[in-house]
Amino acid sequence: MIAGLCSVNAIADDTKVKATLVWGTDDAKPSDPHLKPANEQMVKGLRHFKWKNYYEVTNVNVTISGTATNRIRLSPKCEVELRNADKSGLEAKLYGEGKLVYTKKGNIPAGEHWALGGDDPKNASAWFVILTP
Amino acid sequence: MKTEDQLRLQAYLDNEVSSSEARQIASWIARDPEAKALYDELQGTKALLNAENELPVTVPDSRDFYWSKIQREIERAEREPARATATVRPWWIRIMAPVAATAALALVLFTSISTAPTTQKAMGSTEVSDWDNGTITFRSKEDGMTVVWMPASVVTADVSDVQTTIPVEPNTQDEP
Repeated sequence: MIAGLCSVNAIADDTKVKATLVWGTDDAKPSDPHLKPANEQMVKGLRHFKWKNYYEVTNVNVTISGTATNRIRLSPKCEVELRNADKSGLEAKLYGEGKLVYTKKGNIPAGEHWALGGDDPKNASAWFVILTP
Repeated sequence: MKTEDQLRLQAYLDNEVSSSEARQIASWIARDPEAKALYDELQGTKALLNAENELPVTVPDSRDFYWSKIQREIERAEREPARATATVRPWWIRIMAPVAATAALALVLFTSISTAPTTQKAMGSTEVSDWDNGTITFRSKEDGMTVVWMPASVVTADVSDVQTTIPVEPNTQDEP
């Protein structure tokens, strides 16, 4: 009985998050034909930055069950780890080359996004890991 | 007649001598016709000139009095700034001063963000919630986006190879 209740609770705590990797650049056309223009709403949220164009590299839909940890590879060097923290809401850990770069905790309001981003001076471009509930 | 004797007669006429000296001068006038003539002349002149017709005469300041006036003026000027400082400022200045200081601080913060290496454009309704160790967190209510910006200078590992797509396996769980 108790186990059954716990199971129902765990199912109720399932969280769905979409992780999207976006590339910001001034280039008009990306060299990779698989890249497509980023979601319009995301681009609007990134309008404060200087780059002219934003392309979606990949996106992954994740279902976080209970306290499970989901680690998603978005690019050869970029990974994001998602889990439901006890009281803090969602915990997102960003990894670069396997090393932890940043941890963000909290609740993403419905209809809003978290964007973890940085610039790449070598290519005068930027990357963004955008999390959407 | 000596000038000193003439002045003694004038003083006697103006009641500016002591009683004993007055008796001596009165005796002198009675005995000396020249003194009597001068006394009568002065007395007639005084009768013609009353106090209201007498022209005012400005007595030149003495050296000491002249410099003491300058000293008093200097001391007065030195007291003025102190009094002005002690004066209570108007109520609106007292209220607006902290507001102005806060606005100035916000302007400095905003300017710093705008000139960060990310060269971000105007932030609009964006609110900066955190700025620690070179990482900037800000939320745009209008766009429904919270951004954590990590300049390359503060990121300890390279995350930036995003130009190339890779095959991904969605919903991979490393740990239960």
